Amino acid sequence: MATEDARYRQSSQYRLWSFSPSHLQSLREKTSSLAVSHISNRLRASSPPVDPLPDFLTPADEAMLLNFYIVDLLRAAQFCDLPSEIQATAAIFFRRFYVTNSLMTYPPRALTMTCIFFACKAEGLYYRLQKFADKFPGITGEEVLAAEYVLCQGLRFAFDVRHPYRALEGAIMELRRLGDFDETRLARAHQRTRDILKFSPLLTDAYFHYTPSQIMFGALSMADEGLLQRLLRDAFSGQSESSKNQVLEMVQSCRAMLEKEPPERRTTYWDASASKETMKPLNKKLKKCRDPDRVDLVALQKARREQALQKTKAKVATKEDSDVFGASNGVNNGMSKEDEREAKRRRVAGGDMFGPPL
Amino acid sequence: MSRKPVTGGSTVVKLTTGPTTALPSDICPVCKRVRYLNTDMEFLINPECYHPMCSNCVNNIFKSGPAQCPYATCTKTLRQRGFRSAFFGDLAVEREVDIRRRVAAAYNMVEDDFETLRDYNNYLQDVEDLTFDLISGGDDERQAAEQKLLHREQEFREEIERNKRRGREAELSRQKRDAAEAEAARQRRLEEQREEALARAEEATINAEVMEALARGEPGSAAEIQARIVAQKRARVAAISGTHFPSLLDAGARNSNTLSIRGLKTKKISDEEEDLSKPYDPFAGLGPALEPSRYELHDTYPNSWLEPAGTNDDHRVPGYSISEYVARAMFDAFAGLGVSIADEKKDAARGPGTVAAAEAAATNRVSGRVNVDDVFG
Amino acid sequence: MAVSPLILHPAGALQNARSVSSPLKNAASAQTSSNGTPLATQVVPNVAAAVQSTSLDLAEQLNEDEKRKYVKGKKLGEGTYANVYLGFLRSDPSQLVAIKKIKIQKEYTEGMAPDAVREIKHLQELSHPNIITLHSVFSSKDQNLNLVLEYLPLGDLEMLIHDTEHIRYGAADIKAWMGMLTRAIWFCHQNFVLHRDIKPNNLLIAADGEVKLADFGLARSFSDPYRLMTSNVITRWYRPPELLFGAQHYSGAVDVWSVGLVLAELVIRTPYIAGNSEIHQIQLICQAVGTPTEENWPGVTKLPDYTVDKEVVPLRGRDHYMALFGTLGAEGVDLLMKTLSLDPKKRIIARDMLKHDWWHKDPRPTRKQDLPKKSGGQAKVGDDLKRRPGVVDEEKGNKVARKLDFGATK
Repeated sequence: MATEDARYRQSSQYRLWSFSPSHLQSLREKTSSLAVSHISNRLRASSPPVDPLPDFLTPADEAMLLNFYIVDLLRAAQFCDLPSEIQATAAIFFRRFYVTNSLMTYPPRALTMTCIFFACKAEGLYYRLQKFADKFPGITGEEVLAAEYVLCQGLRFAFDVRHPYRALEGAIMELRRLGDFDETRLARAHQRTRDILKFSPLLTDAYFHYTPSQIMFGALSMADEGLLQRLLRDAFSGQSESSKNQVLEMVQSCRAMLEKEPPERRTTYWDASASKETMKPLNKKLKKCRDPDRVDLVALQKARREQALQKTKAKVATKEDSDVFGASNGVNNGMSKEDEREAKRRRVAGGDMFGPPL
Repeated sequence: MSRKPVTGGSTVVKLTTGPTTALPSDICPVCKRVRYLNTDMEFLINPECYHPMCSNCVNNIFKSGPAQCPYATCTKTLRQRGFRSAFFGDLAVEREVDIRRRVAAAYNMVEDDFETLRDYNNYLQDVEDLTFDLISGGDDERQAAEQKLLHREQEFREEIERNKRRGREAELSRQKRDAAEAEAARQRRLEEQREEALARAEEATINAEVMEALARGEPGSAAEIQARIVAQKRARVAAISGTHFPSLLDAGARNSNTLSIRGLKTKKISDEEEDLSKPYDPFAGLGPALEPSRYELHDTYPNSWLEPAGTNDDHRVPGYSISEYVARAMFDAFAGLGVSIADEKKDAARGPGTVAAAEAAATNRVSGRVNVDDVFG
Repeated sequence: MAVSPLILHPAGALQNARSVSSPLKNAASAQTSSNGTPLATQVVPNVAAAVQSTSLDLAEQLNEDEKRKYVKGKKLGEGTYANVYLGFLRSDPSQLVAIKKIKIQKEYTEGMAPDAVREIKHLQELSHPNIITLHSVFSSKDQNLNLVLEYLPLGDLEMLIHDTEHIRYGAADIKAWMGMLTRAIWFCHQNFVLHRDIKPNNLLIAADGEVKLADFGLARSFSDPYRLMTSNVITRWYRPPELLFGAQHYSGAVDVWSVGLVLAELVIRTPYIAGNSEIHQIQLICQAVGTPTEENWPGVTKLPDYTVDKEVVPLRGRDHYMALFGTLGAEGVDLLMKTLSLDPKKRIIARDMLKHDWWHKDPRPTRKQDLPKKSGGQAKVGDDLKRRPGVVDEEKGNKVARKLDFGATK
């Protein structure tokens, strides 16, 4: 057993954020169906109730939109002059977040900013919040931070993303040391691979299904197949042909995935006219089926903080039991409009058997 | 005085009373008096030779000072204060116990004094051999063993004393620990009883409340009232279980401090025995696991981009290490190359991995990362 | 675990009861009554509903699953940065954990505290017997971070070092502790992580005597070439000269210096180089080790903050160290001198430390269960964990920069 593989299996990227394709698909379907059912309940319970319910995004719609926003995110990150590794971390944070959260639930535009800001933090590059927010007109620091906590939770508190960039440097160094290839060929492959890695893996599910070295070799094989063969020959020199072939197979299937989003597509995504045309209807659709409770993340965050405060205060002020009675008393005494609506929502949702009486 | 005198002192004697070593029950072998006429007759022995005789004889023969044993073949000189009543009916057993007591007092080392369990076992074996020689060995063997024992008693007096003291202290602390455990168990029992009573009382009042509420004719259907009160009940029961909590925790903490000592002892020692037989490994077995297997690290790699980091003062002087970067780049290039996520994560949806669970059960601690195998679904 | 049947299912009951009786309802009504403008009520109710919504998204469910694996027990310690609780695995109450609940920082307005982010990030990746295990992280309802850490009940190495009245230890014990520390730092460096805050009170002791490196609040990954790092790390007494001179590109050698000073402190049972300011620290290093000069450290005078007294102290020789640290034996002193090399390029690296002869000389390192330990350290666990990572107790006087100023690095 190769020590390098055993060590990679210790990483949170492998432990928490690597899935087989079918598993990832089922996760996304589950996320989507949960979001649809929650949002339907909330829309029906809002006043006035939304009827008929809007069309919801399908998982395929979400996948398309996701890429649209990631391109957006990369553009913003580039605008901040962030190193490509941090740009990629932000993009992967964004991808990971929307595996277990739906675009319909949390507004992607806000999350874009939060992901970039938090990626800087996670990579140890400290951007002042105000300085960051000032880069984007119309965005406040409060808005950037509003989803930070939700983001961390969505990331399952795994803040380390393993990228293929340094791996590429290693591979090129090794190729130079071997000395079998002339420098222009190496330099060209190096450049081409780097361009692929800065784009293709971030726009596909490569990070979920392949390890950084496989992604790097996949991209390298797109640039220059011969270099890949040369490196694998040495790496698996003492081993059976089958284990080498198995790796080769994985690298090739990774390559196939990367080829769906070649770096040239960057310009078509960025070419506003083309992308807006395909994305416009989807964005419109999204606007209609958004979670009404989570449109304003800043207010949501405030309320959550408020709740935490109230909770600690309540703990101090009241005894254990009065918690139980206090709540129902409050409802009985003077039920406010909001409580009414909440009660209604509950009934419609039918979720809570111990809901407030009448 | 035809019989030759024997040097006194604490020597181990051979039992010479012939085939039977049983303590006589009604006739004194010396004066031949019978119990029938002397109902309070008592037989005494002297550990010099273990020849039994009645207390009358002892009084008569040894009152005026040391004298030779009245048994015909015995040459021992006995003193009155050396006599005592036997604890066992069989004098051979009585003697063996005496010998064992004496040997044990001299050879009083404990397991902790030895480097390995094997050493300790060897020591126990030696002591047992010596004891056997003393009890049932031939004359020569017995004498040799006697010499050894005497030597030990005289030369190592201090060490023996120290061990004895330590033993007493250990015994004392064991007693204390037992007492503490008993007390803790008692407290736990009391607390459980109290909580149970409390919970029962709570249940009773809740039932009464339901009845009362129904009787008062509160708004809402009977089912609603019941549901509401059941919710309250659950909250209260939960509160009670909350108070139960600290005691549970404390018990856990106590267990880990006391019980583990006894339970783990044998296992630990076998672990350590293996450990100590091998030279100390500063890498604790992990050395090879962190060395590369797919590539070799070389001292230099041609890399024009990297060169300035090796020569510029701001990198070179404060020790920025290019080899650290190179090691990382090479590791990144080859780490996980053989990991097939599609295969390895195929069963991920099935739930927590059994490996981690088995591990957690086998070891006494939370093993590894709990969320390692926790997968969605 | 004998519990009356009534109490067997309380976990579920408790959860339900909580979600019903959530005090949020009071919060929501309080809010509207204080500002009853229609605009406000338009937003607030929706938000409130989202906050207390009982229907969970997948991400929330996963968090909830993680949270439910543990039961939080009594408080072990309370600090301004975090509270620490004893806890156990719900599925096996005999398995204790420490739950470190990081408080929301009122004065820190930039979101989640970077030291918490760093600590979580690196502990998630490092799994080694001599590094504190992070079992899990979850968020509680009130948006606090909860780190589920290995429960290490026997205090830290600093307690043992400074309790000269009650704790006695010898060369074999020092070697055992150093072995564990060196393995920990070797493992960090093998995984490309700089700890940047090694000191005795970040070395916690497990129930079985194993020493565990904790507090990764200042840790970071190795920097790529030409990327700046801050020099304002590592508690002053353990800070190497290159950082005191303001270096912004450095290596694992910074940790090795700290390890060397821990070794020295283990022998003399008091911090070896304890300056009360950065200038003073440099002066003391000059006296203890020798003045850094162009001869013993080519280029040192060009470092940004290079300042030393005019009077040059020559490098201390072996005799000087033997007189102070003779108990370590010649080999031990040799290793110590190699860790305290002024020039970081000549300083020994962690892997080579483990290859040193010292480990194989007599005495053999003590078995971990036979190491001297202090019982009843439970209160101290709380103390150690509740500290903000990277901060020293104020009264001890050896302050460390607790915030990294990355503004300077970008």
